[in-house]
Amino acid sequence: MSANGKILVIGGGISGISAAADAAELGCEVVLVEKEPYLGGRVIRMNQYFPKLCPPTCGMEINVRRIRQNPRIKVYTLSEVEKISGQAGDYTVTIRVNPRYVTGKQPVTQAHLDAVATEVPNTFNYGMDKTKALFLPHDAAYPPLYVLKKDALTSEESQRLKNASPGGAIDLDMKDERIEVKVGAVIIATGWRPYDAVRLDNLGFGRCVNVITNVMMERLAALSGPTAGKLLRPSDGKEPAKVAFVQCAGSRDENHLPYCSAVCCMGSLKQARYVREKVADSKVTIFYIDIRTIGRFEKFYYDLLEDPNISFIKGKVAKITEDPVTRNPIVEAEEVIPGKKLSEQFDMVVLATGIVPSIMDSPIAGVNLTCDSDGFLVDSPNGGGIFGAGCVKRPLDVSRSVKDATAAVMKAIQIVRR
Amino acid sequence: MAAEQKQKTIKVDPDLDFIRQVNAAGGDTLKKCFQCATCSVVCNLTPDNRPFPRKEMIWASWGLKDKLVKDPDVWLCHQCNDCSVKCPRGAKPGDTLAAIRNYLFKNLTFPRFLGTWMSEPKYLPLVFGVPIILLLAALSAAGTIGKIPEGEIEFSKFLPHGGLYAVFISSTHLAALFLLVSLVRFWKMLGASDVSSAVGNSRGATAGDLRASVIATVKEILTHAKFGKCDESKHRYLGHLGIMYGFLSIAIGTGIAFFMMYGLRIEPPFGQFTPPKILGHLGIIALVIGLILVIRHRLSGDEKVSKSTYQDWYLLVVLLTVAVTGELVELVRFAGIAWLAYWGYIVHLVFVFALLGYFPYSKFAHIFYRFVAILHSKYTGRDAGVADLAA
Repeated sequence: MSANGKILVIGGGISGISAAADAAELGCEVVLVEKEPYLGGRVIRMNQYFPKLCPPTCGMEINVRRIRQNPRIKVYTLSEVEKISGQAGDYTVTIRVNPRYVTGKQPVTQAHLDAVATEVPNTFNYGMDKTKALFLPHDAAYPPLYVLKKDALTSEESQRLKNASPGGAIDLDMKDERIEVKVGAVIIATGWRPYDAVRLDNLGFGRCVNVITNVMMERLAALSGPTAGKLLRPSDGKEPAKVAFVQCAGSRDENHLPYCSAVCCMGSLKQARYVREKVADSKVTIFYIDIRTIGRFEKFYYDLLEDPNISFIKGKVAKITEDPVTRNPIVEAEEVIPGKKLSEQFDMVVLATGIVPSIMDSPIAGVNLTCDSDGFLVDSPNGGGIFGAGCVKRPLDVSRSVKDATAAVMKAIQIVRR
Repeated sequence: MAAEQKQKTIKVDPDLDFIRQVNAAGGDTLKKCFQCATCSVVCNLTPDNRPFPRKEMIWASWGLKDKLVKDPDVWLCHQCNDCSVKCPRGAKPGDTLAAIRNYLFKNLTFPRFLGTWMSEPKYLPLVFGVPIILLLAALSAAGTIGKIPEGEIEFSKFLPHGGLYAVFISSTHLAALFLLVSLVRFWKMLGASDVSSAVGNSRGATAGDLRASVIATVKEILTHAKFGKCDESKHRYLGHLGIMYGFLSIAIGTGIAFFMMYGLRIEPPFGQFTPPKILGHLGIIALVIGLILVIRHRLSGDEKVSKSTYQDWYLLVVLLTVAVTGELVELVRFAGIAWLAYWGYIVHLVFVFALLGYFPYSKFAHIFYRFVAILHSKYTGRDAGVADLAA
């Protein structure tokens, strides 16, 4: 057995949480590091899983309980791995814990909340609404702690918060902290981010207010989202009766992401159902190159084909402009069968943006990670002790990410128990 | 809805040789196409109904030569390359359509071996050998080989007009005759094409009116209205405009020269301030500036967007050489260096032959095929939908 039986898991999304829980339940000590102030990653921001259409809290609640109840797991949120040194079986890891300014020693009370009036964009909802600078990231957040955006506060607000915190619920003098841990193996589960839709300059995102992305659509549909689950379009808060989905918005495109992001077809099929269920008599058009639904997921597609209010048009959308009066997006495509240019107004357009591995944005100092030409992590080819899990390795759906996490744990355990 | 689309079985009989030839003529990226149809949307020149170039890409990929030969849209494309820039696969529809046109230059006009000559650099010795032999024959008939004429430099003393005309008038007129035959055949094929007979074409202002269509076509070409709509290749608007007006100016100047020689019985050489000379010099300036613009851009151009083919370079280099040698010969004549002027004149004529002697078989022929295709699109109302969308 290695001198050090600990495993470091970077990333507290569905892959990281699964890996941490699996490893700990097999008897390993685990350090779980998450950059955001809460666990759950991208999945917790979904409205429903595909294809079962249950809310993400389902699986997430069980997994968070596995983490919470297992004394072998140490969780650091608002934290980042700054450096890894050493070799398989003996790594030294430096973790930077960013200040939350909320201590957790005392509960945050109404007096604290009343002390803060400044609002900041709500990143949990992809900036579609605002939240107070002292906020709980979301209703089921774990750890169940508030976060304070200290930089956004006015000096009066800071003073008021100090006055309201004699028991030390808020500590404005909190500094970032560095922690060093020794681990035997590392699992990188840093996941993905949606491709920046602003870069798809012909698709109008950022210019046409009623063009949103698929991840925003999940928040719009979610009860915990900015519209409390009502599907309302950004420009005027009206229910969109006619919605278009633009597939391969960036994916399978040499100019953006050359690969297929694998999940966006399923995502749009799922979101087409949101529209049909939430808005009476709504019409949905899905523009696609190929509908890629693998295995049993194809049934979901066939079911939608039965709905006369959902049309599928083969032809990639290559231009979106906006009607200046109605703010309706105007979508241009060639309907390949029968071969006709089409220019049609919709109330709202959803871009099915693809998956970008987050590791591209923040490489880890001290280790030479191997990535493929698309930027996805390749497991250490020469027997190192660093393994990927989930979307850092390839675009994956939730169930495949979970299985991949278990597989990564099996590899890591072989290192720490050598 | 897709599921309810009528299922039709289409039997595809691919012409493999055609695919190979288009590949070789600059369409080597075409197989990357996955039919997403981005190209048809970003093209500013395509009509709404049965737009190009997405359908041409699959026809070429499947080797459906017959469809492409009679497809006017291949010629409505001006290779702006907006499609190639936005293509998610690097399939370069712009280059593919140019490659199909190269194939047609090679194969459309009788006799086909001349098209083959023009398609590859390995035939250059033949291409240049013919005018060299013909001109040498004319010189030896005149008995001037090895003997530089004395006195004031006058080209007809070296190569008499009879010999000049025997070489040029016969070859160009024969070529023109062959071109005319194939243009008539081309017009008939366009009439039978799927595209023009497709139901639902918006009827343009000139539809059904041949005279109005001709006028509209000429106007469009003179104003370069189509080039002006290109996003990616805006530079080609000016470059091509310079080349076209330069060439027209020289051609008109030459026509006036003939009229002066045979209508007014004025013996050349003409003075520098006569219409043929003025038009000639102005034409050469416009031509050379246009050529430099176009050549410079082709040399610095992004390979990812478009690559230049042999056919492109043949036309550009031969045109430039004709213009430059023509002007140089004129200067040498003034300088009074007789041997250089006379033999420079012969070199100039060799390049003129390379340009005009084979014109139906090189990219030069695009002038005529494109004219016919644009005319056809006006006459059938096919281009009416373009303006609607662009507006």
